[in-house]
Amino acid sequence: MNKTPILKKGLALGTVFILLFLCAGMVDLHSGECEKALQRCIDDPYWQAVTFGFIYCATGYAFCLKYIEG
Amino acid sequence: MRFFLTLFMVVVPFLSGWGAVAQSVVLEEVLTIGDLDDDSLFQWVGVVADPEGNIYVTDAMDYSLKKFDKTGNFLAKTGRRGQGPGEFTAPRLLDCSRQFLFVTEQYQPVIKVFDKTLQYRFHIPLAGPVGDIKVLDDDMVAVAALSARGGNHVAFYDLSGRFVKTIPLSPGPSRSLMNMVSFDIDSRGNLYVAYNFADRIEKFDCSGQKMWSKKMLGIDQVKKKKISSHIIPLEIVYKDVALDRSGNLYVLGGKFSRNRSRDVYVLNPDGELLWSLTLPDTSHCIYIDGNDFLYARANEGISLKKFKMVSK
Repeated sequence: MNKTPILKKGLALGTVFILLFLCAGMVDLHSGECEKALQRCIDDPYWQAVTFGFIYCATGYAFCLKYIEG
Repeated sequence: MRFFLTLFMVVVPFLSGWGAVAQSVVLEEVLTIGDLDDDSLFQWVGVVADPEGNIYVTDAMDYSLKKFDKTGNFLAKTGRRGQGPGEFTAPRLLDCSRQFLFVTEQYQPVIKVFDKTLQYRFHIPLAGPVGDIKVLDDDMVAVAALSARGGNHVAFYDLSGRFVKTIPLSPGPSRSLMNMVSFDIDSRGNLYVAYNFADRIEKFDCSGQKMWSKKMLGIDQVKKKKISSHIIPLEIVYKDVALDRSGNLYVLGGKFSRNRSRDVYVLNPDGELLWSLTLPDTSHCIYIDGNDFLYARANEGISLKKFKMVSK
């Protein structure tokens, strides 16, 4: 029984899964940018001092996701 | 002047079992403003067209409001970075009345008002940042904003910023992003909302009575994460809504759509899915003008595309 085609198929499938994983990671990286920006905004003393400063940060986060994601 | 008549996408009603009517719509691209090779637009955010066909765009990258004629020729620009009259820190959404253009700011509780020659006129003070805006006439604007008091609502203000009335939406926790909506209002005053972080589209009549509520994509809940002391949703379900002249509602899907940020679901005024269409490029928003031309983003905000919607 020749195992070479099976190995090749296995390698090809493995490559596809790795690429899919990397692609998914790239999407998460974009979303991660908005999360990081939100974290910075929440931690910013200026917005902590503003009344309902979180609402400004949250609105900016939603805009970031809308604009970047996709 | 560049007119493209490229056939982009034939629409297929793909949400089986949802009462979709077999109909197809073709998007014909009729105009592109901005390209990778020019500096017309850098990162446009809001768009609106007036009855004469002039197109107005907010550009976040160069802190400006720009005006183009109906063939896409640049006419005027105003604004620069700053907090003074006619200046912007983060220009976002845009709408117009017969006389004025209304521009929201991301980090300021105001709506800045310009005339159609792009001269700054005045600003409307608000209580907080704006999530979405709809100008109803020369004397009233409707605003969706996250409420600090709990629940969520669409509030109506006159041009001096005086509160006129509110339409409460579904109750929810205070200051939660889960409450964030995009909305539009038809000529009868009916309010249509799509939740940005939940699979929910709703219609309210002008008195605030809920007419219907739809869950279109079968999403129970989106992923969330705790950031500081806040629970933050991580996935956008619906990005934007717009109404056409017939009162049909166009809803731009987000992460959960088959073609993320490109699929647009078209519902009739009763909330039934008529058909769906797919934009050629991802977009953060959709806009439909008074002649039922649809506008959307391309090239990650460098280009604005205008489409004619043709029923087949």
